[in-house]
Amino acid sequence: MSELITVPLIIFTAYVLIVSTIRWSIVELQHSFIHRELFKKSQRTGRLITEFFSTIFFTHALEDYRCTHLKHHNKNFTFTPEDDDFKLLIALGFRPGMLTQELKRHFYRCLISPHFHWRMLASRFSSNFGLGQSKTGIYRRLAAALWLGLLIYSAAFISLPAVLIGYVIPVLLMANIAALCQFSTEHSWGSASHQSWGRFVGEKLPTSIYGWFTWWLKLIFVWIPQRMMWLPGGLSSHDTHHEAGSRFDPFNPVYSRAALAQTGKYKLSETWGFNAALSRAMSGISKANSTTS
Amino acid sequence: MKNGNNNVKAYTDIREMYKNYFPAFLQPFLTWLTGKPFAGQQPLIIMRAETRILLNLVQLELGMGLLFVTVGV
Repeated sequence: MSELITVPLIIFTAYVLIVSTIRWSIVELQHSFIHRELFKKSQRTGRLITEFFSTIFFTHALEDYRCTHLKHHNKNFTFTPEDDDFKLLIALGFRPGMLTQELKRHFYRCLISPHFHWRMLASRFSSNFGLGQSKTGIYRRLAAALWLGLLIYSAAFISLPAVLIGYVIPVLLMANIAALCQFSTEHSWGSASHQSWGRFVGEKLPTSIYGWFTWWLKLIFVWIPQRMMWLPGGLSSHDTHHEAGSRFDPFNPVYSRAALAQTGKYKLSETWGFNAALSRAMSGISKANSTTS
Repeated sequence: MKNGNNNVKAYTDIREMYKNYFPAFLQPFLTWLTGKPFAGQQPLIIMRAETRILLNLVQLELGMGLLFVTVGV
């Protein structure tokens, strides 16, 4: 009987750890490398390490991520439908002009939508194998092919359940969900005000015994997983990366944001909790000009 | 909890509320969790990129290890 409780709990914990690492490898490791904040003296080492992670996780290869992300920082494209992240949101059905509540409902439908997962996986695998407009080089493609071959061999001749439980669910599916949670709460997409905000986890302390009971449950089963999978590394302070550029320390993000906020030079606002961040971002899409879609 | 200050309604800033309610040894964890330090808080350690890479590798191995031990993957 106790196994019915402990085994799912351990698997849940394992998934949180694995998905957190996958997301960190993109939003901090790869991100810092393309912004030249990491491996400044050894670009080759940095490329090897970032490509190692993107290969084993089948996330976007370095060159494709570099193109997409630097365009995201280009003020001519940031938060417009030319921004690849916003373009993806529109393709997934997040239309400017929709009501905020409609957009939020659509977000939750997307999490389990086969169309959403298909689009995300198609994009990830296209990048890994140099398909379409991908700029991925031949060696990176070979590495991806080798890794895929290893996974298929493992599934076919060693253990299919092991590959499904140990790789497909966390790496291919849950990582998609974490990615959607991230970029659909990140900015006021489509809004002329080009807003970003700090995304913080938690809520006010309760004042009743029942309130405390739910507060502790949320801490363990909601907020810690959110912090690790939705906002790994310095993502909670991502607004400061846009506002302050190179003045922001990505490896000590929390304290760097606080110090920069103290200067009063930057417009930094904040949201607490996932729902607040989602509402703010979806409100931006709702108010965006519907002709931009 | 510490300070005997149970008037949680007095605080509008969540992080300051946590700072005044929970003991000092929990504050670094709460800063990590919330993503925000309390006013005047200084980091325990200054992180380097290499440290963060190592921590995440350990995190990945821990996750894979838990799966291996639990379901044999």
